[in-house]
Amino acid sequence: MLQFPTIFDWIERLEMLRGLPAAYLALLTAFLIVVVWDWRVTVLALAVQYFAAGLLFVDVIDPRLAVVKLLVGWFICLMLYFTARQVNWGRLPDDLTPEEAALLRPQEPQVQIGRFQLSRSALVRLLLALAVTVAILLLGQRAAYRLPAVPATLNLAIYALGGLGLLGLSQTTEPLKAGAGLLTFMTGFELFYNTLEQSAAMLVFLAAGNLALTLVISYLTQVRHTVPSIVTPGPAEEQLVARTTGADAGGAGPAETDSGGAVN
Amino acid sequence: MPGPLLPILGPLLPALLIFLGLRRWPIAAGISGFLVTLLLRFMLAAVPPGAPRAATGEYLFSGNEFHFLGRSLLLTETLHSTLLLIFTGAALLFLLSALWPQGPDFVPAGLAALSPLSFALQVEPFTFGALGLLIAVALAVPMIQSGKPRRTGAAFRYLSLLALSVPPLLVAGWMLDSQQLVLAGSVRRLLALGMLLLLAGFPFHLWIRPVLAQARPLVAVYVLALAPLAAITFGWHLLGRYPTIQQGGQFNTLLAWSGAASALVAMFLALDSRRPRRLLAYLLLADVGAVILAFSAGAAGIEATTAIHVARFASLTLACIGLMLWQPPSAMLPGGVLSSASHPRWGRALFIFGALSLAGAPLTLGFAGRWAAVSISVERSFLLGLLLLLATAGASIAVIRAALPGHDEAVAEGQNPRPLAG
Repeated sequence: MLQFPTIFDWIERLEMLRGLPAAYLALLTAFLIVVVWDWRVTVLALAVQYFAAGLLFVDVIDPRLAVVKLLVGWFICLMLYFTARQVNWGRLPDDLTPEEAALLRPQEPQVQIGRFQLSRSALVRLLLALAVTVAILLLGQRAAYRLPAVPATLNLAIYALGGLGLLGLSQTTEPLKAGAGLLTFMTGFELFYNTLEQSAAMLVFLAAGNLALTLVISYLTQVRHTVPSIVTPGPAEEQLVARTTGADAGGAGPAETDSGGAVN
Repeated sequence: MPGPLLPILGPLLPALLIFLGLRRWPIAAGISGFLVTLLLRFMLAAVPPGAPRAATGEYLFSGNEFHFLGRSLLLTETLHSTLLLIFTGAALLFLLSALWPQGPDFVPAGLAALSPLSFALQVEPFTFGALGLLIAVALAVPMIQSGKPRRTGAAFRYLSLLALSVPPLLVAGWMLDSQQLVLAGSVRRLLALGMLLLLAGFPFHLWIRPVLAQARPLVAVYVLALAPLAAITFGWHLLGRYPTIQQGGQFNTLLAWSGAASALVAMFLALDSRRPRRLLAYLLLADVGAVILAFSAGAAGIEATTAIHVARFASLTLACIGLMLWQPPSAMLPGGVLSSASHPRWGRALFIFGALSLAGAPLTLGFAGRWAAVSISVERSFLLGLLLLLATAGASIAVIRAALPGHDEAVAEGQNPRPLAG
């Protein structure tokens, strides 16, 4: 009779990925979340990141609890996946003309690097992510920067997820992208915190907190990318309309800019 | 049933029922929310706090302790009175939302958020309380957004900054619970960071202005005046449980200077503000600074922080009602009792009085608490007291400047009444 492998069998099979490889995998996924703007890559990278974190959790908590962490993480990714699909992965509807698309979402200034063309914000993100990654690789493995009671391999992963998560959070107000940064940061924090506190009750509450965060991120993503949101004029469009009609957009402008800066 | 469960379980079912059945009818939702919260408030008032279950067995909700998963919920007298204040405030806001609708999610989410807030205040150890606050924050986000399309900056900023307050509080909590005395300095720094993020002290105040600009007025009162009362009580509870935190003065000094910086920065920004909501946001930041300064004074500051918070709730409510009366009928939501009325003069007067009170000006509701905070600060350090006094005076001048006719004309020049619209 076919016997389904147990959790411990799976852990044994994945032995070669545990430790430093899992830490580097977590770093790579966090880097991708910050740099790549495609939501499909973000959700996939987050799912792989939860897998890597699950392998790292095995070193600090009971393997059965580590599997619960992994399942919660993948459930979070599932929620984000369905949200992203419902809003067409953050893209404009396919039936728009290029002029309409340009009006609703003006193209960013491009930078030419050899044969490659990058948007200016992508270049900034890439440079910042590289700087943070180099700092983490240089400092994260030094004894002076070792976190208390944390194994060396975990130390690197905690710094990577924490640092790059905060960077991802600070780079945009787009809920799904910034939310992935916040969730990355929280995973890094949990890797550290579960080394200290390993009670099942805390695990349940942290899982509830993460799920609540994901629900809210999904809600905000939906609100931002529904069809009425797409056709609601933003500050740039209002100014464009004001310029063309000769009206004063300053007083009648929206209550805030897209980045959350209020003008009201 | 144990008393601590009443404010936690009580709001959940009504919140769900209002969400499912009444959210499209703002008057019905507002009145239902008001009645439920008022009923819960009176039931909670009937629970004798601090008394063991055996002594109070005749009540439906009795006893001040409940144990679960090795943790406990404890309803002390201080927490009891704070919860009564929070429930009273929420009931009033729900009633007002029947007059001025605040979006379909305000009443159900506001009612549901009372549950994790109550949990956060009562649970031992306090690390679980920090997670309770995180869940309350998550419930507050739909209120702030209230289904408005496109602009999500304020709600997301609020969510992310308050979510970031949880990790330092959890780590510090573990260190305190496991008595890591070697790391006492780290504990104090982490707690100071966590509390500053939670209370929106400088430089973590970035969400205050967007929330006031984007959220509907009564939602802003809930998020900026009612929820922080729970956060500050959480802080007091923590300091009461671990008195060693304040030893050495590092924790208090960090908070005190951040509080003074918040008040000063707010004063300069308020003096430069020309629009009502922006002015209100900076007055609120000055108020946050005063709260943090009083909080950092230890036990001496408990009465001052409570007085400032109660005054903040009243002042902000008055100012926001003023804003709603001031704005044109076209900007109001449909369906409210007063949605077709606009009373610009009354609205303006109420707004100015509320703003002056929030600034802590003499002869207003906010003066007593602010003066108490200044007195406490002077006793600790003359410079801190002077800075707070200066900030209070500056904020009051900013309101008077904004209210002057010439300034008003300058504000009105080249604009429609939109800057006051929600």
